[in-house]
Amino acid sequence: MIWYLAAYAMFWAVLFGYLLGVSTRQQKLVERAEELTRRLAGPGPGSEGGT
Amino acid sequence: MKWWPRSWGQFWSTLDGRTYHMMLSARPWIGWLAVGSMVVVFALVFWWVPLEAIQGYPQKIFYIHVPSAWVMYAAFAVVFGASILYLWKRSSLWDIFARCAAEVGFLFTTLALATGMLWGKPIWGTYWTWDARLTSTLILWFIYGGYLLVRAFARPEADVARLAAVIGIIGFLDVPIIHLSVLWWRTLHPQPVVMIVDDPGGGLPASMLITLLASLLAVTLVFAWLWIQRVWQERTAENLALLEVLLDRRERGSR
Repeated sequence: MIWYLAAYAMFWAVLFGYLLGVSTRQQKLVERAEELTRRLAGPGPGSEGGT
Repeated sequence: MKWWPRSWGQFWSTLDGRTYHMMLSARPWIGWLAVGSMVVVFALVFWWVPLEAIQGYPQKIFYIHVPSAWVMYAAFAVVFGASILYLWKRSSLWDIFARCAAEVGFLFTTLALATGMLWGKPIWGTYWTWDARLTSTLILWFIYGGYLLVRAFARPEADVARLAAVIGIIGFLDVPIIHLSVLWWRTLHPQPVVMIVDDPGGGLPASMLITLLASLLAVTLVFAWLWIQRVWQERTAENLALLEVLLDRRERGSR
């Protein structure tokens, strides 16, 4: 029975590990998108002195 | 965007975008179906399907080993198709489809090998033997491991995409060899019990066949969701990189 439980535990550990990696990558993408959105909303060329 | 293209030329030139949008709209459904079907599979494996008389508990590894191997085939078929379309159309989306399928396919190849080893130890008395099925699967693991290493470290990007597409196409030739290896050579690996020409599915009792089919569906849905998610991430990263270049240019212009 130990091999059967070990195989299922390993299967889930690997899948969740990969999912965690995907989720971390997603978080980094969101942070990068937020930073670029802030830059996009910032003053562009020719906006000096504008309101 | 009109759904139906007006000509075959338009069909091929917009197929990548159509496929991408279809995948994105299906993503939440696939995700929830994957979770639901996985719960069902675990109930079936742990509480419903009977123990096999000779092998006992280790036989239940079959319900994750076979679907992992099936997804490995499916993933590398995607790499094969998307690589051909990339070389033909040179659209970066096809390259992303192939790259992400190779990544998730490599994960499931690892799982197929590892679950097979954990079954082999109690049944064969060894984790590994240089059997034709095992060896050809290990070769596939190295081919796509190499593919991912090339993608990770080689530059420039356009040349890498071309080289990776060629590896993806040639590497796929190993898939039929793996599948037919148990018929072509005398191997220790068990013979097919589902895909039998004269009697499809006849090698298994009904309860085991139902559990296996449910597991095949669940693991395929997990693969599809992970693949779509990775494709979306890579596409978004590409768009953000482009936006960053435009913002850098704008900021340099304003100084």
